[in-house]
Amino acid sequence: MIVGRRSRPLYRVGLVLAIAVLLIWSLAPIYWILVTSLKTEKEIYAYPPTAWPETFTLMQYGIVFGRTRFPLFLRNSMMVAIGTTIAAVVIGTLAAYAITRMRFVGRAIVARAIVAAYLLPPALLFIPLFLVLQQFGVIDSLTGLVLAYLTFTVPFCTWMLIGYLRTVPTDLDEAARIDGANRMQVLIHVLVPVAAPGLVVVALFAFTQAWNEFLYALIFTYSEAARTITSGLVGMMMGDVFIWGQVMAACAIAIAPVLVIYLAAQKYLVEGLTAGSVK
Amino acid sequence: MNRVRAAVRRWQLEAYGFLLPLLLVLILLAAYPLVDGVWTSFTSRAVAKPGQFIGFANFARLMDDPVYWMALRNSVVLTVGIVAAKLVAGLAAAVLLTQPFPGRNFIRALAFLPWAVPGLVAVLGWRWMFDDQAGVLNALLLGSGLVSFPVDWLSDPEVALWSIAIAAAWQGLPFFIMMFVGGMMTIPPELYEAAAIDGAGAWSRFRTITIPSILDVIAITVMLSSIWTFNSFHTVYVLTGGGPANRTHILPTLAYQYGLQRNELGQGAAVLVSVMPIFIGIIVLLTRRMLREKGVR
Repeated sequence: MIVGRRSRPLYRVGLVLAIAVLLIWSLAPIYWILVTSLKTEKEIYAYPPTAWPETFTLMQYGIVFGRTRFPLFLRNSMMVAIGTTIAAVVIGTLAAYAITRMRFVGRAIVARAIVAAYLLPPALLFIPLFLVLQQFGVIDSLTGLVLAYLTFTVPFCTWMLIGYLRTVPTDLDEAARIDGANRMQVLIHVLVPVAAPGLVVVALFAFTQAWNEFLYALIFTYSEAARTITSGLVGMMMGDVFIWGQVMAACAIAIAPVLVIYLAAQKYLVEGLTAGSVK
Repeated sequence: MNRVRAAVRRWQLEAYGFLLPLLLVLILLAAYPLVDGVWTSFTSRAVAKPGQFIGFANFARLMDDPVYWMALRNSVVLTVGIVAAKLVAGLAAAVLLTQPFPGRNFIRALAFLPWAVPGLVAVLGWRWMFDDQAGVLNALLLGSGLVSFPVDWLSDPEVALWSIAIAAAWQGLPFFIMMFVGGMMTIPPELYEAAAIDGAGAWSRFRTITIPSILDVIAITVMLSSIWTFNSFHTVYVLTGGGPANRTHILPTLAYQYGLQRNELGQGAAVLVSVMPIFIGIIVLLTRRMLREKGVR
């Protein structure tokens, strides 16, 4: 009966149309960013706009790399994202180990605090965090940004790693414990290798979150030396109205690393995200 | 007996050794700022000026501030509208993407793609498309004869709220689809087959099987997304900056303007603290729910 319904021509036409609408909605803005970045200055502002560049040019990318501070922003973003990822994964692994493998007073409270911190929106925290980073003397520095990014990456990574470590049977580490290994050795030599795929997915999440972050980057850095791609991009846009070609080229570059991550690990990222929220 | 107690104490210390870095982050970078922020909202603090305790003066000023009420209204209307739109569109898209058809995984990956685009980049792309002079949306609308004058996507406050909603929905929709597809894939196909034999149509199967089966997923998705949508600072900041005439602010952008651009940190903090009780409520609810799902109590 269901099969009958599905082979009806009307059902098929509807299916194809609906998929087309969904894909146009999802992909058109990304397409438009890329296409604009490959046009000449004149063609970008031509009316009507061309759906496909008449003359392909990498001119916009040349300007972005050669005549703006974008390479510096790119380097800063890379350093902040890598620093955040390493710190968040290490801190998260240690904490997730304690929560999934050890009994201690206050375990439930710590677990609750992790979830609550993950849910706490940065937009509620930015003014006081600004003051705290100032007190610590790390405002307007890459170190300060890494510290700020730990506020959301650490709870998220810990929460996801709790999920991964719970799927690893405890027999493994108990066997190692009986053989005389201490807890740190068990974690590093037994659990980390077994949970490695999970750790990679969590690291990719942390990197993506840090790479994409904007609000903290805007507020906690004000000198060009500490700007990241996101805060630097907005500086580019506010500075001059007629540089859409460069802004779109810079956007395309900013998308590239996360797009590579997404294409390489899409299945695991989606599974991790949905499982992290509900299971 | 004493030996056992000593051993238990050693385990405790060991556990907290593993937790120390996490606790440092949570206490120094989340809890302390949160408390400090609440305190700041009761002071006349500014950058490089400690200020003094002024009671509820900041909040009293907000109550008389039409811009605050406008921003609160925008925040609520946008959050409810965007989340509702994502819920409906997300359910529809998830039903679509769980139909059997060739290349389904590939199509899904494409539909999730906006999720991988950095939020700021997405909004810059939308701002460029909304451009009233050279933007592609006006060119398409004018070219097809649907409008005879360019639409002021971002400079007319009423239209600008719609533009903000469209850009925000574009960024947030994939998360809904992912969650719902994940939920729908766990529904046993036998349920649908049995209902079909009983003569239930597609709509009634959706209502009596699909929705009840993924109700928990829907609840968590809606709550998570409400928090994120309410705080979608970058969307408003880049598209309109809260203008024209402060008509499109949401609370986070208003807090930024008052607290950091005007350097009245106490006033800015008060804007955020005024809605904190709602968030604490949602966060407590969600935390309980997510811990229960995971079995960590």
